[in-house]
Amino acid sequence: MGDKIEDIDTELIIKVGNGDSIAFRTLVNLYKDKSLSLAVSIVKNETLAEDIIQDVFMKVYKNIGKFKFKSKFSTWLYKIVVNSCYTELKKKKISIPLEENEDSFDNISSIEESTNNLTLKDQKLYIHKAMKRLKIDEALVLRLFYLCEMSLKEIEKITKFNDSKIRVDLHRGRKNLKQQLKQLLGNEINTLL
Amino acid sequence: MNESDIKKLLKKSEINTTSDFTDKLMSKIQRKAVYEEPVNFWSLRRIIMGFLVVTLVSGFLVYKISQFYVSTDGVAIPFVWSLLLLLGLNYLLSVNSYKVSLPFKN
Repeated sequence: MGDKIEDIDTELIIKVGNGDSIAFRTLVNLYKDKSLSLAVSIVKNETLAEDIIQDVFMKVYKNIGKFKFKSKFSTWLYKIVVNSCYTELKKKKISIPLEENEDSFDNISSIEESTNNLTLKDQKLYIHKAMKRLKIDEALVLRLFYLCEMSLKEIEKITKFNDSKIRVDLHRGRKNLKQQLKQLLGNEINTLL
Repeated sequence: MNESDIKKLLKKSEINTTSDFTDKLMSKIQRKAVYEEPVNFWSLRRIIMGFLVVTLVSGFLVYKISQFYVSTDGVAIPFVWSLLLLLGLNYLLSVNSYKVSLPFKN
């Protein structure tokens, strides 16, 4: 499965290098959502994260010739995403209070009303809300490991965190995510599974 | 909640971009490509060719080397000048038409 994805990536990257815009579109569509999810883990703001991802893909388009297939394309891309987000974070010295940033979840704040039949959209919103409450490093490592299916070695390359920090962040992230979801959903946490 | 449950949860934590994300990105790239054309420097071959042409022309003009190759009282000099001028013009025009014929890379 992984090899197949890598083959598709390689084919697309070669085409993009030759100026094929349709191949670039396909590449963007393959990775945009995961990249955005990673960016939101760091900057905790969707609009800003989307702007950063736009810039990241522009950098990718410009520098695709420099990609030498020494690692997976996804590792290379996510490294750029993570670096760009931390740079932006430092540049703007963002400190957005969580509550200010949660306006998109207003419509799901009353969990008591309808917990039995959570739609997939609602489930996603609760999970998203809980993820936003996690620490940056924990949310990032969790998403890299479970959503992007990166190995610990690859996460090390992407984040420059050492192995033990990644393991600790994964452990704490899992624990805190459960805690946050429990706070939001109470005993209805199982409706998410 | 076990490992596979966490995996299921995190799979649902994917955030979707806005629907026009890719279109916006492609038009940004196109705009950038139009307004920020890369600066192309002359190749070494072109520099050598240019150097030879300038040397030849200035040799004719300043050092009168034409007298070694063509007779000084003949009508050859205006012909040589016209030929050089036309060749130069032809070169410029062909470079221009080649550039125009290039496909847009985006």
